[in-house]
Amino acid sequence: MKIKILKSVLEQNDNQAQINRKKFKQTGTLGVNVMGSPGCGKTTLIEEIVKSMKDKYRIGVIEGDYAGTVDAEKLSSYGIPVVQLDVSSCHLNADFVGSALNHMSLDELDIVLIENVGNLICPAEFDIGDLLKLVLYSVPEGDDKPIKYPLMFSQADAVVLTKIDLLPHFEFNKKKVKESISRLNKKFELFEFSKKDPTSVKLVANYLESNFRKLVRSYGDL
Amino acid sequence: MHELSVTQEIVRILVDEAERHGVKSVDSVKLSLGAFSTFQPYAVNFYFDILKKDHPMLKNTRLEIEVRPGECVCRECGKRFFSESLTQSLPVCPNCGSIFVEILSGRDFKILYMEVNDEDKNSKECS
Repeated sequence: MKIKILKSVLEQNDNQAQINRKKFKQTGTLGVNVMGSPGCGKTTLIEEIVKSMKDKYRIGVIEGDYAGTVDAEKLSSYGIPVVQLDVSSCHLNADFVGSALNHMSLDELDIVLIENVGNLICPAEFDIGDLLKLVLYSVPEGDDKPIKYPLMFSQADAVVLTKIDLLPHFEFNKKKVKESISRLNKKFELFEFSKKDPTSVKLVANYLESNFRKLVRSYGDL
Repeated sequence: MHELSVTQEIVRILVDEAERHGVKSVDSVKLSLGAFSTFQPYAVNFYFDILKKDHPMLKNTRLEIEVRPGECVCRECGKRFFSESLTQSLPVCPNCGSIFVEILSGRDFKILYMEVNDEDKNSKECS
């Protein structure tokens, strides 16, 4: 005998993602999904964003790590709320993020930076309910990554080229990268970042700031 | 690698549905996988054989994963095309060879139905 089920395997994740997204919108908190390969500089960029924005905005961080708590410990030292998720998985899902949000007072936060697990494949498959997707991509990874991981780059609201100070040492064609992403994604913004250039984080911070203001304006709370 | 979490979800839904319908043993489950999904059937089966051991009603369950066609449109030449089989890599436009294609359908992964032995099912109504 057949029993009909007709359910999407990702249904629960997608439902929880909608709940998370609604929470962010209701509290006027910009939930940012920070994705990229292991070692591309996600924690470094988050750290620099926190340093650059924390005096003006109330920032929280959700750290999704496969193992260990080093990143969370580092970021907690800035006196901001940090929730560490021990995900033991190759990506964050909406349930993980939902449980982290239960440990944060979103009403008291303007921006929550969510560091996904270092991976260019799986995080693109699982909606976590963010309002903005930043994809980081470091120069040493080579300029062919958008072609190899199209789903990730097609979803990005912004791509941040990190370790840009290493450009002279690698055969990395920025123009080619920009063209490849443009073919996959009609709306992305492109930034360049180096920890050694303090002005470079400002542009990313300004981008987050304008998205935060847009979000708050749309709900008339500012 | 990310098949583990989707297989956990498949198991969760099946256990939930089996309990809801009073089913003690599920024979097989039919799933449909879009041709452009990145989930690999062999990996789903691999994890399912491990995870099902924790649930008596799934002990003898087989998964039947059917690949459904997906539709794409080429961003370079505009040609619309279908892929019938699971695409392990990127879809390539058959007209101009471009890899810059937009996937219109075929990324979904659904559980369609489960087959149960009538004798194993209690008298509850099924939907």
